[in-house]
Amino acid sequence: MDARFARGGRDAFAEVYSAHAPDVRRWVRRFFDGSFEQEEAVQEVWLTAHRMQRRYDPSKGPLLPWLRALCSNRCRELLRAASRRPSSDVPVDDISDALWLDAPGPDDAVHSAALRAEVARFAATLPQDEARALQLVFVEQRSHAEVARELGIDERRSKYLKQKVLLAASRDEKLVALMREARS
Amino acid sequence: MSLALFRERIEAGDVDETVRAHLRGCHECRAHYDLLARTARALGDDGAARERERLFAALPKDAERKPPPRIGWLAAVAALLLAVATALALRPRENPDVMLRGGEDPGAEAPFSLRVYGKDAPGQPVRLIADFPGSKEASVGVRSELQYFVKPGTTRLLVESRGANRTLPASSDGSAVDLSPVGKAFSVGAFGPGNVEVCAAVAPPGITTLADAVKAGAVRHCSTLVVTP
Repeated sequence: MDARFARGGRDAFAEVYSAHAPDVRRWVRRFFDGSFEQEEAVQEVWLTAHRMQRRYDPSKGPLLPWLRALCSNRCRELLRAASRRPSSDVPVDDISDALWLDAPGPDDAVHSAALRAEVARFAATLPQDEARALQLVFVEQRSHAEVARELGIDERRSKYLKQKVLLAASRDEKLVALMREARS
Repeated sequence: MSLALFRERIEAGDVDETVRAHLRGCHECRAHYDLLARTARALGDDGAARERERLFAALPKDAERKPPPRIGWLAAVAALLLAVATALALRPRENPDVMLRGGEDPGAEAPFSLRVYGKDAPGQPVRLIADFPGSKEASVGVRSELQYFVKPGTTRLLVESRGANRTLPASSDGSAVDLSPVGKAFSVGAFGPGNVEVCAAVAPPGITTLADAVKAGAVRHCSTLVVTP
C-alpha cells in the first residue's frame, strides 16, 4: 500500500485514507478540543497528504510515521495561523510526538462504558420510534432511506426523528455532564 | 433571527461550505455545532461518512493532470495577436466629457456578495438561493421566507428591495467577519408575484439610506428577484 501511495493516484490515496482515517482523527483530537476545529483540521491534514503524496518515499520509512509527522506539523501550523499556542501538554519536540499522539486521549473516554450506560439510560426515556431511530441512525449508521424502509416512514420523518433525538440528547443534563467530564 | 437560520441548518445537519464559513467566524454557532457533534458522537455517529464525502468532494478531480497539448510557437503568437485585436475592437469607448458620480454601474465588479438565503415555505429547509449581484437574477415562490447576508461580513451594506407595491430597506452593521445579516428575515409574500428589484451599495460613513449613499458616490448594484405565484 505504501508503494502504491507513493506512485500517486486517487485510488491509492483513497486506500490509505480508509486505512488511516481513524488514526488521523485521533491525532487531531489531541490538538483541538472543538468538534468543528477537529473536522477542519482533519480535512486540512488529508488535503496536505494528497498534495504531498508523490513526495513520500517508501524507502525512507513506512507510511504511518510519515502521516503522523505531517498531521502533527499541519496541526501546529493551524494553531499558529490562529495565533494560538498549543495546550500545555503538547510536546515541544517532534520526538515525543509519536508517544503523545498515540497515547489514550481525553476523547477516548467519550466512548467509555459509563457513557454507553448513560446513552442506554437516555434511550430508555425516548418514545419507541425515537429510540429505534437512535439505534438505526446513530448506532448502526444506516442511511435515511434505510431507516425509512425499516420503520415504514418517509425519509423526511427519518431526518426529523434524527434531529429530535440529537436535540433531546444535547439537552439531557446527565449526558452532557458526562461528555463534559470526559473532555476535561 | 438571522442566526436562527444558521442554527436551524446546523440542527438539521445541513452543513455545507457556506455554513462552515459562517462557523469559522461565529463563536456562538460553533459552540452549538460542537455540542451537537459531540452528542452525535456519544450516540454513536463519529461523522466518518460526512468527513469522507467532504474530503473527496474537495480533492482535485484529476490528480494526474495531463500536460497541455503542444502547439507551435507560430500558432501561439497568432492566437495572441488575434486575442489582442479582438479585445481592442470590443473595448467600450469612454466619453471623457461625462463623469458619473455614484449611480448604477452594471460593469463594475461589486466589492461584496449579497447572499440570499431562504426557505421555499415555512418549515422547509434553508438553502442558498442567490449570490447577488453575480447571479443577477433568482426566482422564488411567493411563499418563500428570505434573509439577506453580506460577505465579507465587515461590509456596511445598504439594500433596497423594491416591488410593485412595496419597498423594503435593510442594512448590515458590518460587525461579523465572514457573513453579516442584512436586515431581518422577511416573507416574499409581502411583495406579491412579479419582479422585485434588489439594489445594494456599500454605505459611506454616516449614511443610512441607499439614495443618500448613491448621492455620496457609492455604486449601486441591482439584481432581480422573480417572485412566482
